[in-house]
Amino acid sequence: MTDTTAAAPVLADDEVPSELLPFPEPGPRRRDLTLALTEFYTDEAAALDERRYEDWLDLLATGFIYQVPVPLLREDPQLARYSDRAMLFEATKHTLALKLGRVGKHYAWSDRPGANIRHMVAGIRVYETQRPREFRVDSNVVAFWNRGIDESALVSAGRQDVVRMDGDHNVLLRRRRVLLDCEVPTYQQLSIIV
Amino acid sequence: MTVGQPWSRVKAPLRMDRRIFFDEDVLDQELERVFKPSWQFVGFDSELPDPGDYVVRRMGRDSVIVTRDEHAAVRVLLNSCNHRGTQLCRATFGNSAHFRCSYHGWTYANDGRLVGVPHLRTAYPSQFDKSSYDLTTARTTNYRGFLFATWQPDGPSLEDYLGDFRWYLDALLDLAGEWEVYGPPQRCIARGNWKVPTDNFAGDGYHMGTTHQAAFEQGIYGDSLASGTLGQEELELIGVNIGTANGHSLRAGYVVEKGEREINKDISAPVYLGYPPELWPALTARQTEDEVRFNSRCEVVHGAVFPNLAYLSVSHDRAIGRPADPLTKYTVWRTHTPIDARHTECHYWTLVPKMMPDEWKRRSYAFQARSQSAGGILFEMDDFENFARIDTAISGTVADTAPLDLSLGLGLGEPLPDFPGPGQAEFITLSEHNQRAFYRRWGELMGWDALTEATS
Repeated sequence: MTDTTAAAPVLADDEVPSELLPFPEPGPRRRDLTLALTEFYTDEAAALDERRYEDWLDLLATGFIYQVPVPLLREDPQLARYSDRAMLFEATKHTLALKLGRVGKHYAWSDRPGANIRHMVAGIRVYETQRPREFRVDSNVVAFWNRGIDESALVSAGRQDVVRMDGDHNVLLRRRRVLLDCEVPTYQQLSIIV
Repeated sequence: MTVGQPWSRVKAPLRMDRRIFFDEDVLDQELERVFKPSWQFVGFDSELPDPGDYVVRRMGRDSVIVTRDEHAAVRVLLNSCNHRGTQLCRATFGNSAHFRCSYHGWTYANDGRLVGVPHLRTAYPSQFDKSSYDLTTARTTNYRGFLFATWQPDGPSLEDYLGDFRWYLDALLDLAGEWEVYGPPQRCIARGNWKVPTDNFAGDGYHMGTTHQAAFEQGIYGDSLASGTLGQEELELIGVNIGTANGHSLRAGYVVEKGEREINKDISAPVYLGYPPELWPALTARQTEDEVRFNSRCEVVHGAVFPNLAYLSVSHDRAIGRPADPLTKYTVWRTHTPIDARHTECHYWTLVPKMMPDEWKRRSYAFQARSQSAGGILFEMDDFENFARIDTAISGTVADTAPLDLSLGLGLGEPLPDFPGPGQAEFITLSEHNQRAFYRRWGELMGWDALTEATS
């Protein structure tokens, strides 16, 4: 158990973020928080890759929502690249807990045999939002997934999070938006929690 | 050939030829004989609200531009310039009055006419007839917002092609009047032949207890399908399978009192699971009496429109939603288009009734995205897992000729003469009746029986 996961539950989680609200735009950059959040994301990726799922779930606020918007391939490069309405996938904390709780069942077919997954997280940028103590954190992620000779996937994505951080730098994830770099992913790419 | 004939006449187990699921030569024949003459689904009218709106889709291996022209007519144009064959439209969707080729600038109006050829007067011979280079255009029709196209100019109308299935499509749509697509479609690439997921949607109730055992045990259907329908032990879910002569199919699950074998004998108080109860009388008012008999107490419905359009409608509640979320239905339509014999592109469109409030539409969409989209980690992923496992193991030196079976429920279903809709309705929860209808039609078009009666 890392320091981050042990400390996370002390944060208040009184508001449920609504998937109906627009995703917050980045405010002023907060370079002073880069190191603390780099450590948070390092620990978060390790929890997923090392299959410490309870630790990972402890990093999510109760109202957490995970979304993978539909990529939009359009003629004009200036237009939005992702739908704000259509989702390739969406999950609540409860849905993710069910998913991660499946692995003990011998008939959770898509989770057995277990895959090797490795997350590489880089380019962490922290921004203020309209809400105090809530930050938008953008990062770049590459994740590799393998489950034997003919089952490999590499996914590259931009990740946009909304996190809440208290004065001691304890962090909870409130929202995550995964912007896939491929227009049409394979089902294996979509099976990776980015 | 015996597949799909009335239950009373077919008794011998049926086997399938494995080659139809991995052989590239078979796929080439399918594209020519099954896809090309069929009505293929290319999208929804509501995806093209304004003149110039277009989406790029595929009919078999051919890329097509589905567009609303300047006179508001929907056109399905081959996405290939008639000068050198260049792809005209590179984006997946957009709005344009013209399609200009990136190579030499031949330009087509969005009704398919070639309207611009650079240096036409000075550099082309006088006999060059510009009008003979208009874009190849598919025959197109719009049925209640569903856009279909075919390369066969003189084949049956879509209405005739749908045949008995048309009644069911009408009944499903009449439940809530006008429908619209929620957002641009989801897309993904699946492993395995296009017929594998299509067969699954056509009527496979058999896989539920195994493939989705984890999902059911985890209770992702909340108070509906899990732990006794509607949470009431005196009720049960029974299945009806309808396979039509044209290869289309529908499988519906009805909530009945335990032991009851007649569906909706009494429709004095219809129930529409997944819709707010206060709306039920209004929903009833939109339908014919037979449609009410079909829709009421129907908890799940799925099936396939030949060759590669599939659909599913089912409800979820707080089990995958927020704590206060009521039981809410989603209706998803999807295509399974071959990339090659072993890879399939899936499109998913979630339809929502226009009459429902935005908040209901968002929830209906979210329930589809969370469970039945390509990323649906609690449900759809186990299906994709099986499609991939089939693809991995179905072929080999010895595997090529090992058996595959299509006999489930053969000769065991009871005909349902009083069922409100047409077609061959069988009352039997576990059956491959619908898949037999699909492969029978496939065999007719291919001129090749991939199904044979097993002899002992």
